[in-house]
Amino acid sequence: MSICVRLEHLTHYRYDRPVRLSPQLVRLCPSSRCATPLLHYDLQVEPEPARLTWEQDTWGNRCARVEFTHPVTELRLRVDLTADIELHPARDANLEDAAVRFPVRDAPMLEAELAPYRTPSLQASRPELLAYLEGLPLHGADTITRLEGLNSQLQRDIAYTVRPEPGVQTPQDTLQRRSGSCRDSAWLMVNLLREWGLAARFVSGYLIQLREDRHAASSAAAPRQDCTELHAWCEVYLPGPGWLGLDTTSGMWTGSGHLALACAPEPPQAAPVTGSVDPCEVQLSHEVRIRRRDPAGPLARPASVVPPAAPLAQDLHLSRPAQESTMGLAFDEMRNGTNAVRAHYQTYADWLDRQSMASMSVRREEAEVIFRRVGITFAVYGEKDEEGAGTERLIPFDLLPRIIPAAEWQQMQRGLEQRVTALNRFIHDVYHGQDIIKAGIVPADEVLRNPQFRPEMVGLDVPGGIYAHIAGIDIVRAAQADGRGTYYVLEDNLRVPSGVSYMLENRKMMMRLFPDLFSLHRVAPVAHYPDMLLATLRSMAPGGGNDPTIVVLTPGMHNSAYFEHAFLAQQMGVELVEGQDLFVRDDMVYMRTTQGPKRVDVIYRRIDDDFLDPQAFRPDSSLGCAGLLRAYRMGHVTLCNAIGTGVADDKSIYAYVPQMIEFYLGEKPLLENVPTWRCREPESLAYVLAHLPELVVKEVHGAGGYGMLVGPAATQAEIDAFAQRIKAHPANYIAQPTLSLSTCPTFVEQGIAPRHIDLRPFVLSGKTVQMVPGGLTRVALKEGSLVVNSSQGGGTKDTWVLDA
Amino acid sequence: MLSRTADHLFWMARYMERAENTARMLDVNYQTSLLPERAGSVEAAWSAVLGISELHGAYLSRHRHISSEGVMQFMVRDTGNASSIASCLSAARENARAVRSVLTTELWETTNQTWLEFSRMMATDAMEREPSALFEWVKFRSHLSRGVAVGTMLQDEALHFIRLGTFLERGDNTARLLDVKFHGHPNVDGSSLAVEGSRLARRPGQPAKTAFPTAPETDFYHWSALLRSVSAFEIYRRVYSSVILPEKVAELLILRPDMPRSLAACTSELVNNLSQVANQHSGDTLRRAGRLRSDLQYGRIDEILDDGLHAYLTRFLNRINDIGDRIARDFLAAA
Repeated sequence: MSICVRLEHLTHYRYDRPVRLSPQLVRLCPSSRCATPLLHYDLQVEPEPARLTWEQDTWGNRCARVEFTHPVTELRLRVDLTADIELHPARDANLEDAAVRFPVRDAPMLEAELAPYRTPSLQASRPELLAYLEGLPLHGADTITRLEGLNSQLQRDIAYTVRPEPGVQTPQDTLQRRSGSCRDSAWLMVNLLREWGLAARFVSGYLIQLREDRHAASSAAAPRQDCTELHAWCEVYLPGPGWLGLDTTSGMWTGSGHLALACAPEPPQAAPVTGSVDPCEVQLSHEVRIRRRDPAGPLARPASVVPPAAPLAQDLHLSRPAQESTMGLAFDEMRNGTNAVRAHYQTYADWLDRQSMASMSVRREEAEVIFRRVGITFAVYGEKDEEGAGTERLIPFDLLPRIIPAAEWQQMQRGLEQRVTALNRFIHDVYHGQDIIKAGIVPADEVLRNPQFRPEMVGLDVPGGIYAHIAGIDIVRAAQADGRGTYYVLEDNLRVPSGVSYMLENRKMMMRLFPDLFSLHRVAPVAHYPDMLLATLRSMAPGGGNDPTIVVLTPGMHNSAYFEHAFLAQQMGVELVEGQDLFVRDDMVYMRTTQGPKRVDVIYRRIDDDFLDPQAFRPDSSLGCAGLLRAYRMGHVTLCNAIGTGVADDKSIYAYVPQMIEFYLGEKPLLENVPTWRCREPESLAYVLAHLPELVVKEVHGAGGYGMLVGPAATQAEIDAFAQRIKAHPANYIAQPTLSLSTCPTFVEQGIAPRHIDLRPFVLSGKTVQMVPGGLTRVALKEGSLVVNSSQGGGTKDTWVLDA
Repeated sequence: MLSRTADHLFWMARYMERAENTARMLDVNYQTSLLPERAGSVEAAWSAVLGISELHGAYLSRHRHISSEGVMQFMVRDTGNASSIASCLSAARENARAVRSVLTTELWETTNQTWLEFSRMMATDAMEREPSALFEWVKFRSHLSRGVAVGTMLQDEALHFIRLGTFLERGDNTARLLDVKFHGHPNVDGSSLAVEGSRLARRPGQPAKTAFPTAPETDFYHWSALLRSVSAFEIYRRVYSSVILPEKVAELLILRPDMPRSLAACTSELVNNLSQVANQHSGDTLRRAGRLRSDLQYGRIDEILDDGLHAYLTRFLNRINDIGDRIARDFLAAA
């Protein structure tokens, strides 16, 4: 368990006259070596310095170099940091064999590096130190016991005093007086350890003590309230764990409340502020305050001065969704217009507030390791690693779920059923009576001259009249003027939509990483998708055979979606075949098995129409199976999806879907289309040409991303050039307003920030139309980016449909 | 089951077993090379390792001299060498990936994880630092894969093809290992072994040093390293309760049906699994495998040594590889 605290530290120097300051080195930033994660850090300097640069000093301490050009009368250094204090940190000093017992031997290669920490200080009177050590009742050679013995001995022998005067007592002074401040006893300890031949260093830092925290307390009794102070302690180097902190004031090991600011062989080198000042009288005051982070307040302000990020990987800057920039216009899935958490996200937001960023980071790494082991990777075309093997990448998985209230989902589901039903009716119609063309709703050339229209399919009856058995409908949400978010269908994918395996694996991953979340929420399950798919495929067998053989046809293991093909075949318990495993004899499809040929009834094919059959389509295709089309046309095998479904998911046809729904079903569309201007219509063309800078213009029959103009991002020259292309072939273009996709909080480098998302539900059509709740949420990980495609840096999220 | 699937499963298992056996072979050689012997004999031993996998040419095109470092480099991490552990683990994983839909999740993840971890280790100096620990690790990962396969896979064709791959490869490897260790013994070559061995066999109780004129303790380390490399040292003691005699080592690793890495045991498993997957083409293959099993079942070590061990092992390798080819023809590329 951890507690998030905010520490504010003001150091105030007042000079009795205007003085010139040499560059001041400020060591007030917790070291990157510090195990306690920093969630936020900010250093402010007053008066405003001419320059402030971050650097590392000789000992690797982070150090702000502050320079002034004019004389000053005061100097204020204000530190504001947020840290995540682990209350009961696991302690696991894994000593190397050489360190378990005295004398401790270091690896020879470390000798030179550790020499400065082992050389007795020139201040130290070594005989006195040795005499003290010899008088101690320490027995045995066990290293840890010895160190703990010495540490607690000092705690008993040296009375703790507050000594406001600057400087550190010599070790022998501290021994003689039997009293000293924390820095005096720490310095004594450093010198005693060196007499034992150990490497030891002096540390200055913050000590944060929390009420419940017995471990970090400076005495056996826990503090009655949270407190913090500037503190000093000692670190000893042991082969294995490395530097370990010993707090001579408490007589214990250091804990997560010890935030080291600077470590060095001698105390002056670890002073929080160094630099010279003109001769003057100076008054120094300190104030350190600590508060537990207010859960309702902002997590942290954006940092004004941030140390370079590189040395501190766990630096995380949490910020609210930015209200400015393009994202300000987007619908935020988690928060409403007044920045309050939406009801369906409340439980999750509360839970998230209780998590430390460090633990979330750990979870994220865990997820990555698991995804790699499971092999949920996609191959990147053309990329080779150093050894010449193809690279495999992970699709980034985001830990924060996208949540949809059940009521919203039910409405969307009805809309999806309606839409996919109409699309299937449309495909059947264009390959049969073409009623919709005759009715003048869809122009004939939009259909017949569409390259996705397959003449081979004309007049062919497919089982159940179903063509798109598996449909992936891309849905986005955009904000309305009144702040409501409206779902729009952006695109229908009716050929070989992919991504469902990520939907399933993401859920599995979330349940593995955060089981507690699933007891807090009633998340609608999705794991039965393969079952539903299998039932759909079985119901499509030719002649309704009662034990049909079903296969998944993949282009092979080098395809980017191979994982999904293998996954679905495995989950359904059917064979995963490649084209070479199939052959056609007497217009029947067989697969080659160890027991001879076996008849195949239903092929869930994951390759495009063009590659299915080299005899009928592309002759150069080695992915398909010669003669497949004939077998299909004879009704001896079912292809899912059918051939020729692409005619219905083309951008030019998209615009007609609402009219299709009314035409075939006599219903009003339940899901909205993005308003679309068809440039083939003169009125629309005029409008589009007049409004190019604010529109997205897409080429129809295109595969997406090519031949596209994004008005708001284009230069005038690009717009002019595109206008010419539109005028030349108006029918080739459609235009839509630029939509700002809704955003969802997402775990990114800088912490949690809003990123644009979409949603792809998977709709199965067999005897009935069905789907599992939700779908795959894709997220554009780059700030402001609207591109969610995995090939272009998109990631995915688990999607929750939540019962209220 | 798809022929292609069976093929991938068969090779997945073969490559994993081959990685293990390469690790065993390198380990025994590395251990032996630590014994105080003449530099020349150490080099000869490494040369023999290359010899059994017929890799002299490939090795010499990349390294100037035969050295312990060079051979280890070549046989462990060189992905240009198709028989290196790195290549085998990668091939096992690629074959598994091609048929992951028929593997249990555990089996796929184990195989994938092995490859991922090995790749990670190869980015460090793990091999140079502690070669034996690395070989041990490879062995354990292979044990794990086998255990996961047997413990989680449905006992159908898929498992039988995996087992076929395992035992075919293992038999092949044990034969090669025996050949190199008897052939490459410091003072014995294959032909003299046959002579000495047969003489020895006619006079039981004759101490080993008569047959192998080296110092007895060198002999002990040589043969015990071989036994340890096939996890048979304790077994030898249990079975024979005697000092380590080369002809008994040969008997244990060739004829003992209860010694899991012996030629007899591997051949027997081969026949068992083959009969489980039989189809209408595979009768002759099964017959040949059965005959090989009988030869081992009813063979005697003195007869084998009389004929010459090297010649015997060469014949065995020819026969088992013939069976491998026939399996491919009967099942894996079925029309």
